Amino acid sequence: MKKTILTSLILLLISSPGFALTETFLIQSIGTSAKMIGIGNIEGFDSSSASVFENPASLYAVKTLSASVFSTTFLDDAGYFNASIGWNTGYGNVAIGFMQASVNGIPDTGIDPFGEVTQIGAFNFEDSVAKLAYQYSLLDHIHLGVGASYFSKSLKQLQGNGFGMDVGIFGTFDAFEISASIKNILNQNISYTDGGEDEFIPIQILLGGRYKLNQIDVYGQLKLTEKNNRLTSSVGLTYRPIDIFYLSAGYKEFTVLNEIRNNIVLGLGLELGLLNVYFAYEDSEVFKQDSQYYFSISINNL
Amino acid sequence: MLKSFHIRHVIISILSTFLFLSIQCYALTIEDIDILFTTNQVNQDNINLFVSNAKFALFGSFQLNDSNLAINAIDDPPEFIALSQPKVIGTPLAHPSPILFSKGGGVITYNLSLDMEIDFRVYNMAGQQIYQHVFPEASNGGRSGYNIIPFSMAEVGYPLPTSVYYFFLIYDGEIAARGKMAVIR
Repeated sequence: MKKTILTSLILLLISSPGFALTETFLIQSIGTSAKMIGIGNIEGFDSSSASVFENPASLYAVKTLSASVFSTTFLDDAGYFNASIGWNTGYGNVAIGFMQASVNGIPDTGIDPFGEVTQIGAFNFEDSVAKLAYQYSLLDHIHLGVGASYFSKSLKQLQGNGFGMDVGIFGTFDAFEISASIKNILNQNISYTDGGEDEFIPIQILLGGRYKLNQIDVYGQLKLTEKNNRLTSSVGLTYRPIDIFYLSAGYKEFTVLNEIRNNIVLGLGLELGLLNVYFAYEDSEVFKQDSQYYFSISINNL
Repeated sequence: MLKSFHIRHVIISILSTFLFLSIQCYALTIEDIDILFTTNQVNQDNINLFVSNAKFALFGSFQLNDSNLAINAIDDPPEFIALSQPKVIGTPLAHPSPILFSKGGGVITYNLSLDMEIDFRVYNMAGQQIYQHVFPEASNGGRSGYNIIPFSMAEVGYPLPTSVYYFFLIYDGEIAARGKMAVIR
């Protein structure tokens, strides 16, 4: 039975029409909150509206109203930002989120009369994704969610747009929780105007778990991504010496082009009930840049 | 291309001291000096000058007066570069902009003051390295003067998604210059 399900999932991935196109760069791949980055980019265990970017079923943890904000900068220039808000409608939870990566001042170049490349201007690049999700609790311990995504990229005269859809399930069983989701299930492309070739939005299948011990929570995740059926894994843990504070560490695998790389991440969280603040840190691959920092804030159950 | 000008009276005045290193501000008067220089971005109002003799280079934006070559610095003070020092002169640039990766790719161009071994690295917007190549000293990419290095699927070996990429020119363990480019799939 398990073999049949796994075979079916792999067939779903490799049979997609996007297989021949280039995979688009998903800005969510860098992480959607400092909390999830701090445990090894393990998705689905955020208790705030940031779950709209991870597993829509995880929005069950929003009891009244929640909001979150996340930001970081790469290479002292590329800015990442996301914000989300979620609320309990009485008939399930709804959340909306927006994530954007942007770079300004990209040189526009031409050739001078002497045949050398020269800068003639500058332009900007924006890569955005907007999310809308709905979560419904089937049972007290089984939660379902569905989400829609709108992808948008703009660069000089080029505009690209695409759509996606996520489905997810979340289960709580005493000390153990399980998060499962399939992202970008519509298998659409980002279509560009003005000469750009389409890029496909890869289907991603995620399966994660959390086991709660006394002061320690242990996390694990498997992630299967379309194109070459890349399977990556992550593990993480949090240590909570007191209720409102925790330290975290994680090991994550991630793909860059056709290569799987790994990294260790560290994090800490200050959870004051209403207001929660998170930091995460990891080594940077950039020459002469030792580390990369992330920061996020969430407000839960206003 | 080289052009020869007989300069009657050249005043370059910014602010403080004159040094034979990377100059930020200086005061200098030159009279009746023949200066050979290469130019780029020539237009009606200003030229970017790369003025060199055996010992130094002057790189910046200037106004050119037809009768007297009155060079007045525009915007940033011109950079005075001692050519005995290994340095990337000016800003490395990618062309075309954006680079059409599936249609032949593009080039990265830069000026070096000397023959230098250049470690060329490219990162995506998430700070992940996607390409690295070392250009030996005195070869294309590591020779004194203007260098043009290819950047396409043939070099990277994998189609790049539409995005912005950052490139570093590293010399002797230090970042000599960096730039950014847009790539369209």
